[in-house]
Amino acid sequence: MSISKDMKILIVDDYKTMLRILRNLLTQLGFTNIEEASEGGEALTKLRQMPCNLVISDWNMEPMTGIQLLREVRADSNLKSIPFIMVTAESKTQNVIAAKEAGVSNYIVKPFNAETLKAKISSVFGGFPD
Amino acid sequence: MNAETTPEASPRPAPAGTGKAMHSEDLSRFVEELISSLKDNRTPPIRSLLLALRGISMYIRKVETEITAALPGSLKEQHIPAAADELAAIVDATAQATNTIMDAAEEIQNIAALLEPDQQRVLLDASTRIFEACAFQDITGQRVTKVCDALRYIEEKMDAIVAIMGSALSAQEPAKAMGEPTAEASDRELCNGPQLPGLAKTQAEIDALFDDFG
Repeated sequence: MSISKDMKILIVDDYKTMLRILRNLLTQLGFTNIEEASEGGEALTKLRQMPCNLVISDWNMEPMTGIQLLREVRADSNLKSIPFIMVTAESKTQNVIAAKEAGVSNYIVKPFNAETLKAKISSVFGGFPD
Repeated sequence: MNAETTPEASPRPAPAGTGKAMHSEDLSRFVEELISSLKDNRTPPIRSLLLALRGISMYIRKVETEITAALPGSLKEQHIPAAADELAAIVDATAQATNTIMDAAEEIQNIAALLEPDQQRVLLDASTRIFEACAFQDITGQRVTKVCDALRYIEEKMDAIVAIMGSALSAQEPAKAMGEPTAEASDRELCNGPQLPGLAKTQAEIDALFDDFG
């Protein structure tokens, strides 16, 4: 899986503030192709219309949560290989286990900073573009 | 028991083991009917039973009075809705303020683009820190949502207590909505963050966990 600054990234969160923060931090990291969704169902629809190179999703959303979105993505033969990073305030052990079992690529606990975001993206793709 | 009393006119308490809630007024009526039907019988065992039944009847009335006094209508009608409104206002106000802060940070970023690389870097780093800090709004919003859920839960329980006036207190389910999720927790039960400071895991702990289950 290769990484590039113009790859399509789908960010999913029900808080507009967090979508704006994520978009800005990703822009500061150099990414230029960012799509947004406000919950899992909307994200899934968008992913099926235009596959993305990376999904960065919150967990606690309605009606479809981040973990449900992750399971849907992993169960879909066209989407299952998309890297999926969970960015969430859910920091309990059972959450990490559930996400891992569902096939999450990495896990960021809120609040986070740009460096953590960069490090996790780099970890998922095995490097970060200059 | 009064033979003229029909089931329609005087609902009987749900039989034990049926799992149906028993209203305290039904229970009171049932006890009163029992007392009435037995009061002409003067045998010692029946007199003892009557004494016990009168005690039960008094106890039910006492519980009804105490619960009514402990749960004033204003709590449900005013205080809980007002608290929920106040919390919603906090979320709205912080969202508005956060957007204003982010607008300003974006203006700084736009101006930075016009400057020399070194100056640009300083301003962009500062604006990035502003954006990172604005995540507080998301966290506080989630915490307030949890408090609102707790208020709703209290309201539901109050309704249940008022409806049955204590007769089915023991049948109330444990406070699982507020508790720790079990190993077989549903997806909904896993949605209980953010954890309070001291209980929340750090990113380093999350990373270690993540690697452990790799």
